[in-house]
Amino acid sequence: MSGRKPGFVDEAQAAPVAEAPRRPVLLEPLPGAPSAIEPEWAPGAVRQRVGTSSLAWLVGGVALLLLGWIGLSAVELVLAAFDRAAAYGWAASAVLGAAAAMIFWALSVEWRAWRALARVDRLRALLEGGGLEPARAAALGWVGQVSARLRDPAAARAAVGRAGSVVELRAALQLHVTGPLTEAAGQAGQRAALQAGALVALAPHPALDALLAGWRGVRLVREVAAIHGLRPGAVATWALARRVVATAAGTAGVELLTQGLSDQLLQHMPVLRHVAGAVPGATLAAVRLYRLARVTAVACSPLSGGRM
Amino acid sequence: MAGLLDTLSAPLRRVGGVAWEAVERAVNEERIHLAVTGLSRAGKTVFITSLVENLLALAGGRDTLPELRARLEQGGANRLVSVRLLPSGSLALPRFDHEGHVAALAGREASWPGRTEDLAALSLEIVLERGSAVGRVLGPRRIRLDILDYPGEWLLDLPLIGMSFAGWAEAMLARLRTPARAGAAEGFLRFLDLFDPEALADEALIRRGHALYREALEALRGRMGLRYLQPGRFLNPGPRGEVPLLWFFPVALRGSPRPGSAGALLAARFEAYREEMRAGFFEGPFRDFDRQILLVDVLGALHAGRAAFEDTADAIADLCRGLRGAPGWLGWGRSPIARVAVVATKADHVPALRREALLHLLRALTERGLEGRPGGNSDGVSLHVAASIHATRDGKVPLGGRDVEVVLGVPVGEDRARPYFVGDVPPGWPPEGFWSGDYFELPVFRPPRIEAERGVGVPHIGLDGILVALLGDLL
Ligand SMILES: Nc1nc2c(ncn2[C@@H]2O[C@H](COP(=O)(O)OP(=O)(O)OP(=O)(O)O)[C@@H](O)[C@H]2O)c(=O)[nH]1
Ligand SMILES: [Mg+2]
Repeated sequence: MSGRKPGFVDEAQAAPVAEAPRRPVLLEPLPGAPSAIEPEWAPGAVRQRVGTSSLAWLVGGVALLLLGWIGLSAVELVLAAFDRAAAYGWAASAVLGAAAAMIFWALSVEWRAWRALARVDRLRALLEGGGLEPARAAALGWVGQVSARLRDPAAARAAVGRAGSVVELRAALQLHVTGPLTEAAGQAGQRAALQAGALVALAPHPALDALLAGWRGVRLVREVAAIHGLRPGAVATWALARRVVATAAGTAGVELLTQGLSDQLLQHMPVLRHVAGAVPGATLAAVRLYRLARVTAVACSPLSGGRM
Repeated sequence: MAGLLDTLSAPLRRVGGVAWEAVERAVNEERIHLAVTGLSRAGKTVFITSLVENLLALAGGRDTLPELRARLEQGGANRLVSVRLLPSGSLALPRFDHEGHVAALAGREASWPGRTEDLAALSLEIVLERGSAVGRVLGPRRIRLDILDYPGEWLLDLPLIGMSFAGWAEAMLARLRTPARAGAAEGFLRFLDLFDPEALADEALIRRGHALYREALEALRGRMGLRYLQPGRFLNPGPRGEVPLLWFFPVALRGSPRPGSAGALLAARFEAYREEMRAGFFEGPFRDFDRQILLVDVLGALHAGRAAFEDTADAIADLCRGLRGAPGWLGWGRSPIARVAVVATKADHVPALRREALLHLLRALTERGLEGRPGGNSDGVSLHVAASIHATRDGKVPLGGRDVEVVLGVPVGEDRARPYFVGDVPPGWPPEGFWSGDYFELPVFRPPRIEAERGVGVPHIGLDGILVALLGDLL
């Protein structure tokens, strides 16, 4: 094939008809041959999930419309106030300015929460397959973030500093940081379980059960996140909740769900046992909340947990 | 009453937990046993390593397996959630040293994995988003791939499972006495002339015969590139090394041997060997496969000459028959393997333009093995040309007065790239005039330097197509 052009057999470049088969040969290096071969292979990036559905565009459009309308009418309001009297105008400006500052503050809280979540994700990726030094730096940052919850932050920092490999680094974090945090999350879960159990027992109508448990669940997610140094605002809570769902559905969650948690929980909480005996739905709500705490802890932790 | 409930509730809840787990598994988890089959040096270990590394990289957002990625895409969104190596749990088999193989490939002096000496297992979990909105309610789907790596030589004991000593010895001796092989087996064949299986068993003499037989097998493998060499553990004894049940060799028996005779001892050892391979390998970890990959070193066989090529075709034919579990062949039934991908490996030794011919040659080589598959020859069988690790680059150099297509690679142990001209690759069973009688060994090129940082994948040719053909219906 190669080099053999079609043509008449008496032409010079054409192959003779009954040519002997050509044998394989390893030829001598050409002048200037490279010392290594890099194949032409450059995989691009996979387009990640682009979740912008038509609904999202709709919501975005409506939000923009509302915000624009509010902003423009605010400016108009201030201008109109100045037209009436200067003092009146200043008062209007002050009110609007204060409102804007509050909104801005809320946004910055959201932004910081979002950043903190991203940092944990980055650390998780580094711990799963990154260089030791970047992982160590990220781990130290995270220890700083949660140090308020640790019994001995200095020991945690020292252990992280001493780790000689990523595997050891994971172990150090597990021992000094995520262990205590998971414990704290478990306690938060138990508290929530108890409250929910009691609430459900008191609820006048079974239809309210889900509502109560749901409300307590959102609070619990935020509590556990706070334990892990994340102080999520509304948006970050939403992001976190999705992550929790993914964790529960994914690999880590299944293991958690099948640990006989309900037995464990009931053993530790005699009060709940009594409530459970009286109101059937109560245990279920309680156990669910307790599990939620555990799964959230996994989702917030840079160790374990499915890759997001 | 309350006391009774209390005592009952814990076990009940535990049962509930187990049941829930089982239901969840049934709905969301699919477990696939993938048989990576191939004769020795076909490229099994390299294939598994590259496959796993590229899947991990794909999950990390690198487009390492484009065809598979396209398959996983839906409305522009990627349904792949994650891929991970499962922890080994309480596995009784050694774990496939994926990290070690990758580290060796990525090292400064990049090196290929050595010969596999024992079984090694690996499980991979692929988590996928479901396609339909209704399905999403159930949560992501998990596909668990169980992969086994093993010494290729052992696989050839599969056809031996259904045989008696006399039958096996007769077939083996007939093979050894063919003109092409008799030279390499000369020492053993001369020994047989003076060996009397009816005589009283003499341990020293039997061990001598065993050593000579093993030498013959080694010569056939090393000097002629043959593959159909039985028993497999003579060439690759495995972790337990030399055990007495290995000390036998084929010898023609007249009728059934007298108890206490050498022939009886050889037959007893053969049977013990056969039973051990059956129980410890083929009925153990090698059982129950859903999908099969058959890796074939087509080029190696082609270059090694006619005897090696025919030998490879025979080996594959008998292997496939064994794996299909034709009644009477193996003592146990198998559920049919749903899909088989037949792959010509090391295709990076062939310039891109000629890989088509390699595919046709592969078809010719494996034809006998694949015919008679239940549901027809082509049902669920796909043919591929692939390189698990692309170690070369295409180029053109002048040869014999004209430019020819070559591949450029750095041979192991050298420090400059050399062009390799693969010669003619016949697009079908090679015609009579093709064979020259020389034995040419495929050059071993240094693997390309891959980045030590994990998750970037390994350059390959065609692995994605294999995955789609093999697992496409599950994705
Ligand atoms: N260039 C190139 N060489 C390959 C490729 N795959 C395998 N090889 C070569 O083939 C050799 C054998 O590959 P292995 O994967 O170790 O073969 P195996 O089937 O595991 O062999 P056993 O363990 O002995 O049964 C390697 O050492 C490489 O030199 C490939 O994709 N490209
Ligand atoms: Mg191997």
